[in-house]
Amino acid sequence: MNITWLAALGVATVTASSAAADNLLASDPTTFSSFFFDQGLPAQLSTSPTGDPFIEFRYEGEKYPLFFYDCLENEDCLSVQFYTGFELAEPFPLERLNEWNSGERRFLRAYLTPENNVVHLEMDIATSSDGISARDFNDLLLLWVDRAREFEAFIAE
Amino acid sequence: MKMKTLTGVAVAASVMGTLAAGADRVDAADPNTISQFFFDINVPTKLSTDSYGDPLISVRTDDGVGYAIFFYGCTDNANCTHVQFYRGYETDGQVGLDIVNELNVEHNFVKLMLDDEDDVIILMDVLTGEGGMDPIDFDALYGQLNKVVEAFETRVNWTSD
Repeated sequence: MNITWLAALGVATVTASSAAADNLLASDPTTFSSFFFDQGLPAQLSTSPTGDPFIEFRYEGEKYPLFFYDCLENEDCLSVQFYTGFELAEPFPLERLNEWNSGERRFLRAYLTPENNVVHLEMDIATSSDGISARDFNDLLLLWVDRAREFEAFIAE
Repeated sequence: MKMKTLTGVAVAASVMGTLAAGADRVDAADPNTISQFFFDINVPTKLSTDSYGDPLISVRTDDGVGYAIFFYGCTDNANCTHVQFYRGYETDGQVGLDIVNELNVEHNFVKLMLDDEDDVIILMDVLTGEGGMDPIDFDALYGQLNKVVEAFETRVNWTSD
């Protein structure tokens, strides 16, 4: 089916400059802090147990993590990652995770860590040298929130 | 432990010089910029259309297997917003979900799955974004994809015919 991705999400427009200078960069975590502030989303910048930057933000009251990756000595990171995970009482079938991964759910990856029976969902976003525009990051954020909720329902079925 | 890196690049440093300043930004809205990227790194491609009429690029890698690059988020088969690298293996059930899952645990940006015929599929989605992406950044993602492909093929002792 050939529907535009953005239209399918009903994405709200973001009034942000498209100039590269305003792009969000994992190498400067405050660019993400500013984004969340501009969007009216509470966010807290701190560090993860590994010493890398870490942001926790709220969307409609729910808390979500934003991890920073590909960092050099905890700085100059190259990517960020939306993440959610659920610890389950029983082993989750890999066939069901494959069903999730097989669908038209782009930008996402689900997997299981059998040692602790946790199912994980991740969305990796490379900012690298140029960064990502606020508009594009907002599109991915909205997609993430939708999919994270869908995933939570999926694993509960 | 996750092996995650965007510093791995697909090509030798000597070829990287061709991606220096002045190279066109890589943009899903203009498939020719993606063809140009691969031309600049000495990899053959063919531009065509898929069954929906959207652009489709076939990439031929040295092993002859290559990738298909599908285009998504298109309006009237143009101005697409993102692409998906696709590489399939006729494993026919010989590689199980345990190995697929292990690689999904270990690597970011790239996803493995089994299709309806129990063949392994490797996928990577790239949002080229407003105004396209710096080819150096696109190359880093392409490098990550190649790294995961290599990890998979090593894990299952894959040899192409």
